[in-house]
Amino acid sequence: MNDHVRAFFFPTLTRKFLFRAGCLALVTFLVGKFLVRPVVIDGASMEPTYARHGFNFCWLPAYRKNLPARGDVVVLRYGGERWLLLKRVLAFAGETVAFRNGVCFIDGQALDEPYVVKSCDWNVPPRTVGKGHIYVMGDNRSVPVENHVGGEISRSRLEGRLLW
Amino acid sequence: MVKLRHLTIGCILIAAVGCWFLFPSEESRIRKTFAAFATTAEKTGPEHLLSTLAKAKAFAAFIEPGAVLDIPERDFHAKVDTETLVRQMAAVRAQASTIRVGFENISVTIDGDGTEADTSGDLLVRGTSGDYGFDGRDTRAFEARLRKNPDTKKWRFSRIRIVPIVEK
Repeated sequence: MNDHVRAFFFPTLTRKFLFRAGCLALVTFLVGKFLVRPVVIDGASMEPTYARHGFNFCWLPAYRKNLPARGDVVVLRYGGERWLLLKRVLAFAGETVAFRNGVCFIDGQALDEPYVVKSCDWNVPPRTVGKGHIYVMGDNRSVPVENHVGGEISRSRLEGRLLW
Repeated sequence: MVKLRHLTIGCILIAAVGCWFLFPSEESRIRKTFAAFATTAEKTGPEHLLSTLAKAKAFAAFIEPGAVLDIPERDFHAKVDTETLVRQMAAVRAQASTIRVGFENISVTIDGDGTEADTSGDLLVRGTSGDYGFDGRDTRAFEARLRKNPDTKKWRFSRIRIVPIVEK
């Protein structure tokens, strides 16, 4: 075996090597904890924007200081730390949201949603979003509204946004 | 004379502290019920099947037969009998590797006759339970109603509602 290959796979545990390995582990931990987190999309609620079984990264600092904008796709904590929701932000605190024949109305104004491709016949009574909350829904509204997880959710559950 | 006065004050203080511990207020009893409930629900490592069953029974003892459980994320809203509760809890315990439960920010409002109480607060859960859609740690708001058993004087849950994360 070539010396370089051997040195790569079986390195000598010098102080310098251990220091570099430790630094690499620390940086990896900090990046994974505070900057980006890998996510696998397991559900069809955001189709066709995000396909099922897709892989992406959640950018964690995205909403630490700023609120998401209307139409942003956000990652939210759902069951513990690792069960996440991927939804689109439709409304903010104080706004009234309703669905009539599949069209989303914010404060009585129809919302233009080019990302909703599949036909939708949802009817959801008006709801005023509470303080500290946002209103989110998925893009795939072809399923009955009762089976779709979406609605008013606490802003404290915002985890971040997808990188792409 | 001074010694007698000090002795009297000391006795009164000791009696007051004794009363505090021996005759706790109903609110204190309710808070202790929450603490005991959390301890009973905990699982720290692998356990024998019989132990799982015993702990599930102990857990169910905190909840009145026919109590209403409302857990929106599980699409569960029903009255539960003790047997069903034990079975469900045993299944959860068997499936989860660890469970840690805690209660915070509990507010207690006791009814006029002191037999029923409305409570609300934050439920802290930490554990891993893939089949039940939970992994890691989380804080959930809850509302619960407790009723005092006139025979045992113990408080038990008659209604538990986990406030939904997402509401349409």
